[in-house]
Amino acid sequence: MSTECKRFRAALEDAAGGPPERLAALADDAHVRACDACRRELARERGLERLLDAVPAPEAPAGLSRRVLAALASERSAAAAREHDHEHDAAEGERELDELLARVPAPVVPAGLAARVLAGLAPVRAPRATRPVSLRRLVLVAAVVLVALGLWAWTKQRARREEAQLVDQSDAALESDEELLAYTVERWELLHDEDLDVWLASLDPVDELLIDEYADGDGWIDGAVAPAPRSEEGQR
Amino acid sequence: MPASEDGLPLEARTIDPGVAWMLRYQRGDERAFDQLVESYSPRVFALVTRFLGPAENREDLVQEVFLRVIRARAEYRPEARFSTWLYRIVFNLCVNENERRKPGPSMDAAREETRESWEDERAPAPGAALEREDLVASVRAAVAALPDRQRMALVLAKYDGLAYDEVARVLGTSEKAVKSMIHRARESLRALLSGFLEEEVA
Repeated sequence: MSTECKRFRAALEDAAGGPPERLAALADDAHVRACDACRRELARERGLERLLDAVPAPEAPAGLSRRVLAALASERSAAAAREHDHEHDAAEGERELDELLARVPAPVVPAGLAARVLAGLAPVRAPRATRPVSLRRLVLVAAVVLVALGLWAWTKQRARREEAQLVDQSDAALESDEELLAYTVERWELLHDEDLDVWLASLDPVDELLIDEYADGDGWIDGAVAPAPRSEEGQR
Repeated sequence: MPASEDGLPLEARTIDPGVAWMLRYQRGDERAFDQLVESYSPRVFALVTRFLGPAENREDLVQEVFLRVIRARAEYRPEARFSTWLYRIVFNLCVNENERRKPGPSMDAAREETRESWEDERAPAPGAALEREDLVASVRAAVAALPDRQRMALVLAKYDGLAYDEVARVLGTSEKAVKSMIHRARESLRALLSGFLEEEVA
């Protein structure tokens, strides 16, 4: 089945069972004019539609509504009565409940209750502004504040001192590092000279002139070739 | 969209008087129930007939449908067209009735029975050929042979003009399932009525 056939069959499936004009509209589809199989399929669906249309619509017998209403009359009155009863019962229930609640005796109030309640509430109700401020409490608060301030200042000062110490230590460490470096460089040059002496000692005696010249501080003669290490033959 | 005092969009009340009547009945207007019965009982009768065939107790079933409307009065909610809600009651009653009447007849026996029992119904036009009588009886028998849900889906979509989503509400299923049901129903009908179809196509 080609893609076009599949598309048409899907459209046919959608239209079949819906309003008849949708099925009729498919006859104008370009594909259906070219494809025999799809044309036959559409014809079958339309044929089935005609067969279903051939069945006459059932007609309700005359007086149906009247008979149905008559048959339901008793049920409707019963339902209405039930509803009325329900409403009546609900109202009656409310009334009975009200009566029952009304029969509950009111509690006896002891004499002088209000006066006692007011007396009990007096300290709470007294305005705050008129209450005397305790001097001891004031001194205590001031002391706590002072101690806190002192602690804060001491902590700050200590931190500053520790910082200065760290800077000094760092400077001292730097100085000692410089000394160590100078010593190392000096030692290194010394070591280098010692190595040079060992190396020079290994040269052929023929090159000694050159070595002397170098040792005299004039450096190498222009154009002269650097001395090669002594060969094994020379050693022998 | 402006809403009515029932809380229902005005448009819905205008398009579907069934909803408006049912809401009025819910508030205690008994005349609205009369209007519902007068307007919908012929449709309910036709649907029951299409589904069950010319059963003798169809009128009792119509009464039963409206009895259930009375009893469901308090719970009714206008969520769809009134007919969709009403047809759901019809479908449930019809399926129960069908269960009660089982086992069903075979296709051939059904055709014979259909031809005989439908005699008192509206017959084909006077002078119509015997073939046409046979055709109508065969189509009725083929529809009667479909499974309950396929039959109701086909009848609602084809004869009551319900859209697939409305059929789905009646049957309590999805729109996709309804489409599939109708497709299978039509395939079965095409197979059962192939003799008539070849003539139609030719």
